[in-house]
Amino acid sequence: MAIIRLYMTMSLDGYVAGPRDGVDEPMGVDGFRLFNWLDRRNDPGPSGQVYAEVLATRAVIAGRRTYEHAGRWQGDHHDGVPVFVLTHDVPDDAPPGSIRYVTDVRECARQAREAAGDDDVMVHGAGAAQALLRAGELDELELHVVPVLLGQGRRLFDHLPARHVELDLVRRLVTSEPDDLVQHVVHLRYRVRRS
Amino acid sequence: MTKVVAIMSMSLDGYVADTNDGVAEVFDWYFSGDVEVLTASASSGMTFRVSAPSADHLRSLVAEIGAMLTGRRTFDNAGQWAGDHHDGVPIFVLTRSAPDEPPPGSARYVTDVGDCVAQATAAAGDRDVLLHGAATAQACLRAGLLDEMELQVVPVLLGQGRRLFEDMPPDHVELQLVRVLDGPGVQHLRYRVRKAG
Repeated sequence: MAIIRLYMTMSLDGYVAGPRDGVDEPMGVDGFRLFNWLDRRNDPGPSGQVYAEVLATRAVIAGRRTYEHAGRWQGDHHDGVPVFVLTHDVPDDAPPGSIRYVTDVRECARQAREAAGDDDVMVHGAGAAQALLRAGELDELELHVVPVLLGQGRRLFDHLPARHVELDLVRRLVTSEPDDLVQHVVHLRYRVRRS
Repeated sequence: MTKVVAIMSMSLDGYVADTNDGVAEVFDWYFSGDVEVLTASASSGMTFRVSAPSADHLRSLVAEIGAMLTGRRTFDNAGQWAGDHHDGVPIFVLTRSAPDEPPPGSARYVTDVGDCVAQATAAAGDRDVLLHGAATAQACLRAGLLDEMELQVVPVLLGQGRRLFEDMPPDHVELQLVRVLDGPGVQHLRYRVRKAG
């Protein structure tokens, strides 16, 4: 069965965007610092490997905020794979391209797994990740931990109940130290342990 | 040269303690291996049992310590280490207001962060200052006085609790990853704070 895996870039202090993120400034103030590692996404090595895995996923689950901030990916996240956007209220206009809206998180997970078949599902966005975690539908987390403290912004882990979720580290990849230290990153993959 | 190194166990979601100031979850790795490491004052009776890689790592960390710098909350929560963290190394406790009663053993209270770091650095000789406590780490970061961070990242999400990184200014602090070690149940990540200029 398809694995539902969050792929997320996070600062060491837990932020996935800088302050005041919005449609006009999708990564918040100075938040694009987090994406410097992607300069190496097509190089051989860990970052290239992880990015190739992202592109090999056959379905996407995204939160509404991420979807809107990303300009709805103009209807195609990658390769035309189905994108399931988790939203509280479905927009009146029809979604573009391979996008579809889902209001129930478990239904969203079910549809995405079915669409991905034997391949994996990529989760995009802190809101979707939190919703899937709360519903017990998130299988794995692949975090790209960037060596910077943003200080403020939008956190990946927020608004969660005080309920412990045990994880197991299943993979740890570290890029060799680049000349430009801002491209450095640690890729940590965790599996969510089922209670 | 003496470095100020914050050492903290943290859940993957960034908490150093749960909602009741409990540290059982993030300290679990200290007690889940089969190699004994004596620590934090024999008088406390606390013995860590960790995996072999974590044990080597902990011993090398302890060997670096010339002085301890800690926040008042951590100090009190740890029973003031009965005045002896280990081997009688001097302990500098950063606090807003020093109690009338003097601290036990080799501990002393200091109310100013710069003063506290200066005293600890002087006392550490050619070894390092090891720092405990989220609020104290934040104070040193804000003051540009933190050199490195040794984070023990534990594979658990606590959901809520006391965060290591909270109430910080929006200025970016660039870091350099200098070491990664895996123990079962913990990742040891060492970062150097890159100073501007």
